[in-house]
Amino acid sequence: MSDPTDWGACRLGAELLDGTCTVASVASAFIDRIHSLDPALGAFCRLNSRIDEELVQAERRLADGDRSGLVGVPVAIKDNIATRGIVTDAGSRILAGFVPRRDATAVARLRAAGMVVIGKTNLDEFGMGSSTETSTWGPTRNPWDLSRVAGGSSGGSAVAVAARLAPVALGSDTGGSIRQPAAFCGVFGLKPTYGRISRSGLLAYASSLDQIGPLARTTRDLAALLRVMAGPDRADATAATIAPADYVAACERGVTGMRVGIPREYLHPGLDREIAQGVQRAAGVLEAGGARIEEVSLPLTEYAVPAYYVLATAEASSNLARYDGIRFGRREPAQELQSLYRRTRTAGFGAEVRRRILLGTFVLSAGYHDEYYGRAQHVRERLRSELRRVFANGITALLTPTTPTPAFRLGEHNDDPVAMYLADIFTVTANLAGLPSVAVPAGLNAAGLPLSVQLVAPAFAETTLLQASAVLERAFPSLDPPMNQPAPGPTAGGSPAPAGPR
Amino acid sequence: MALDAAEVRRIAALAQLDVDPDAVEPLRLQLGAMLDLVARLADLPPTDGASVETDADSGGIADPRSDDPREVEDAAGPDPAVEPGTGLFRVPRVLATPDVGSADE
Repeated sequence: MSDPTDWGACRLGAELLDGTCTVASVASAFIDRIHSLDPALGAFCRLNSRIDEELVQAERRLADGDRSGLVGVPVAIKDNIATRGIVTDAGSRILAGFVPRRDATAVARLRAAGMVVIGKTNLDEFGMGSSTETSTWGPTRNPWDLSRVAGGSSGGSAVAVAARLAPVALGSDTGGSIRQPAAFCGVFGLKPTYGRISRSGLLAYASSLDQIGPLARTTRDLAALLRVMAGPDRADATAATIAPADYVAACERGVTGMRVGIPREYLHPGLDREIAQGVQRAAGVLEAGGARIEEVSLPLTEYAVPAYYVLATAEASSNLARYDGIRFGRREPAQELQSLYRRTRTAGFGAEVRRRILLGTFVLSAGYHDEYYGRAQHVRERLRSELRRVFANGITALLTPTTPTPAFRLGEHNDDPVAMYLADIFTVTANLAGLPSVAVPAGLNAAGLPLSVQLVAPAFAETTLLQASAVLERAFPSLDPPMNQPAPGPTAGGSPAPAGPR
Repeated sequence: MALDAAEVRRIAALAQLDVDPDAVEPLRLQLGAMLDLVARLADLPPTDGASVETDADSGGIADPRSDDPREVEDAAGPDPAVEPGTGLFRVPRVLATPDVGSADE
């Protein structure tokens, strides 16, 4: 008998419409799988304890003839995205026990489409990290090799999808936090154009860079979720008024006539050989599909990471100033107000968050603001102009590696945060420029770890990304971690292992 | 850029964070490494007067609406309690004792 955990979101939606399975049986299959596998993975912080209410509503909608296509399909939500009635703590002690009163707009739209929130996924604290090692809930492990990181900061979401604990998931991406864990875990991850999906309800890290986006095992699932979530939102003044396109239809259009640029600066001699080969294979696939491959130049590439870490940390220092122990979250006892602020924030934030707040505070401080923050803003605008010129010259999309290496080992960068930062070299530019970008699986390396390529398109050209992603998807073999064996039954005794969902 | 311990403590005070004395030196080194990374921005040659293109087309970001007050849905916590007769908001006691002390803990 088919296992619903093998299916993606669109397939599940169709099967539910056909009546070959029920909403309850689908949810049960995923929850059983979570209880069985997640103690070893740590993808979930908590499950939705009120899921039964959502399942009943979904069943009712199907019985009433709702054929919109995603009713009853489970979705996992990164735990920096607000979910009404479900604790949302951004992986941080400072928000322990915080329960939002309303859904983030993106979640509300998925729920309005009938999707069922299965649980909240682990992340680097407040989205600050590239490994999902800094969460107060502990690390998330890569299903391809449990001694390796899942990537971050949306590591929990990437693992949930890769290990078939959920058919699709939401993440957030400020400097690569959807695309990099997608790359490490062998799944698809889309960062939309800045403003394409409302940020209302996303616990802010860097407001000019953050975007919510989907992770999935198929391009079509990315498209389906994007179509539901995209659109204007009165609760977010930066949400774009441009109408969403027909993203699902774009998956069938192919790449004939596209001009695909490969930036020479991204394929430098020091790049992992197998990753470089993955890019070349992807180029070959697109060329065989009718695209023209060209070399382009982005000479400002080397300045992207420094600019990003000035701007992102500056914005983070401002955004996280609200966590002061007064209105919500953790509060440390104190006799005096300033002491209350400092004690609360010091006890509530982890080391990486504190580091980034300190850096951001420094670059905004008197005497250093122009030298660091002002200069970084200038560099950002020059990077944007550079990309604008490339696309204005007729390039349809850029093809690049997603990451400089495959997934690294847990703890490998603990003593050298800068080494971790430099690994964002291929992803941060899309955030700085506000452009859409997707990570696409591109096979395995000799050690059996996923490889990935990245596509970047002009603003609001998500359809271009989906067209190319679908072509690559058909060419590269579907990736499935060795641990994806047929799901065993529920754990004996019914209680999860200590590292399981809370 | 090399930071000294006093600078680390100054930044921490600005950020409303405490730093244990034992943590100052490791933090000083880490922040120094981070600042060395971002110092690369200074290597970028100036544009020699060339104009930096700006986005004349805002890229579809929501058109600025008129600055008129309007009803908005409550997005945050419970409605604040109001002190009768004064219109002042009641807030929960956050300090440990009714009288605010003058010394830090």
